[in-house]
Amino acid sequence: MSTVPGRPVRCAGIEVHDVEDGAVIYHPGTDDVHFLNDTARCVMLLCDGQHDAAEMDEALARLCNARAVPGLTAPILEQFAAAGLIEDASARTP
Amino acid sequence: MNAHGPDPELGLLLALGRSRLTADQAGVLEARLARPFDVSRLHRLAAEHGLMPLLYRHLVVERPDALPAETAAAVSLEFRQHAISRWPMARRLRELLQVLRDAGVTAVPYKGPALAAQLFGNYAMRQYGDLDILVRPSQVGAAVEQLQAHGLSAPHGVPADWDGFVRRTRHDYAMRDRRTGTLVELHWGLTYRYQGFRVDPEWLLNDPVEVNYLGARIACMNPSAQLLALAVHGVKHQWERLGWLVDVAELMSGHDPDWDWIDARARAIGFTRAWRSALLLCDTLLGLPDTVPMSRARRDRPAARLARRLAREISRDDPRPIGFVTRLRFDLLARPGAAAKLVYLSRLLTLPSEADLAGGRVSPAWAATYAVTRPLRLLRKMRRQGRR
Repeated sequence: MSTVPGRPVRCAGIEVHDVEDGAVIYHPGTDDVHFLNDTARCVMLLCDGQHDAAEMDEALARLCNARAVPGLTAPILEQFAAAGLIEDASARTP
Repeated sequence: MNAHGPDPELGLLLALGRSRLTADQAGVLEARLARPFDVSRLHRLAAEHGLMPLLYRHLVVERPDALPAETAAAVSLEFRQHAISRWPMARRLRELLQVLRDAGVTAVPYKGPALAAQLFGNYAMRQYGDLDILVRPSQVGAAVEQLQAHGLSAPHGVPADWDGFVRRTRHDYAMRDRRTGTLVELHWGLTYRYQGFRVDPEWLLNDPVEVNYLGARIACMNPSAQLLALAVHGVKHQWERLGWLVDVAELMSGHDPDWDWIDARARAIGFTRAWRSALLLCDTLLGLPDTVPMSRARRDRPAARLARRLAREISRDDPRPIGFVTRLRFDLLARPGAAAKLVYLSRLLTLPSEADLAGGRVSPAWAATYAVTRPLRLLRKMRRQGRR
C-alpha cells in the first residue's frame, strides 16, 4: 500500500483534461493514462497542496450539498499515490 | 429509410446526433426512446457510424435511465477505453502542430481529435483512427523533414521515382508515428486528381480560427472552410458514416458559416451538385435551419435525387463497405455534365492506384501499358465485390 501524502499535490507535468462526466489524467513520467470518474476528478482537482484528506471529504460534501463522509477520499488518494500521480506538498522544493 | 421514416434504431441515432440538444430535439429523442427499440442494434449502429461518444453523452450521462443498466455499463466502459486509447493520438497531434509551427510551416488539423474539440467540446467526442494534418503544397517537403526528425517514418507506399507523380495526382502522404504507432496523413489537398473537386489548400489555410485544444491554442480551419472540407470528404466516401453528417450539421447550425463563400468555391470546383446533395441529406436525416442555400438546394432536382439515393444507402444497414459499382454510380451522378463525367472516368481508368504504387506493381518504364491494363484490374475488382 502506498503512503498518502499529508497535503497531496499533483506531480509536476501531470495533465488533467475533462472528458464528459470524468477526466483523463496523463503522467508524462510514466506515459500512463487513466480515466477518472467525476468523484475522483474532483479529488484530483483538490490535490493542490492546500487540503488534507479530511478537508477534501468536507469540500466534496459541500460540492454535492451533502453531509461529509469521513474517509471517502482516502482510498482514492491511495490509488493516486500508488500510480505516482501525487506527492506531498511539503516535499516540493519552492 | 422508407416512406414512414427511419427505423426505430436509426431514428434514435439521428435524434442524438448533435453536440447539445435543443428542447425540441430533446423532445424528439424522448419520444423515440418511449417506443420499442432494439438496444443492441442501436449500440452496434452507433459504433459503426462513429456516434458512440454521442450515444454515451445523451443516453448514458444525460439520461441515466434511457438504456438497460447492462448496456449503459458497456457503453460507459467503451467510452472510457476510447478516451484512454485516443489520448496518445490527441496529445501527439498537439506536439506535431507545435513542431510544424516552430519550423514556420503553416498547418491545420483536419477531422480527428481537433475537430472533436472544436465541435463537441473535447478530443474524445469523435471516433477516429488516424491523424490528418493539412499544409501548403509548397511546404510539404519541409513538413516531411520536420515530422521525420520528430519520430515519424518516411512516407510509405511511395517509390522514390514516383514521388513527383504522387504529388501531382494524390493529396497526402501516409507516415507512421514510431512513438504511438499512429498513422499520420500529411495532406496538401483533399482529393485524388481523378476525383476532381480540387479544393485549393489556401482556401482552407487562410483565416484560421483559434481553438482551445488540450490546454493549448491551436489554429484550425474556420467554420466555412471546415464545412467545405468535410463536405468534400463526405462526398468522396459517399457519406458512409452518419458521424460525418453530424459534424457537418453541427457546423451548419451552430457555427454561422459564410454560405456565399462556400457556394462560390463549390461552383469553382464543379462541386455545386454534390454540395447541395450534402445539404439536403443533412436536412433529411438531421434537420437543418432554413437557409438560402437550403432553398436553392431544394430546387435542384438532380441534387435531391442524389440525396435520396444516399439516404437509402445509409439506412440499408449493410456492414460491408460500399462497393465499386455503387461508388461509381454515385460519383458519376455527383458530377454534372457529360464532360465532367468523362474526365472522371478517363482518369479513374488510367491513373495507378494507391495499392499499385504501394505494391511496387508499376514502374515509370511500364506506365504506358498501365493505362491498358488498369480497366481490366478494375473489372476484376468489381467482380470480386459483387453488385453492392
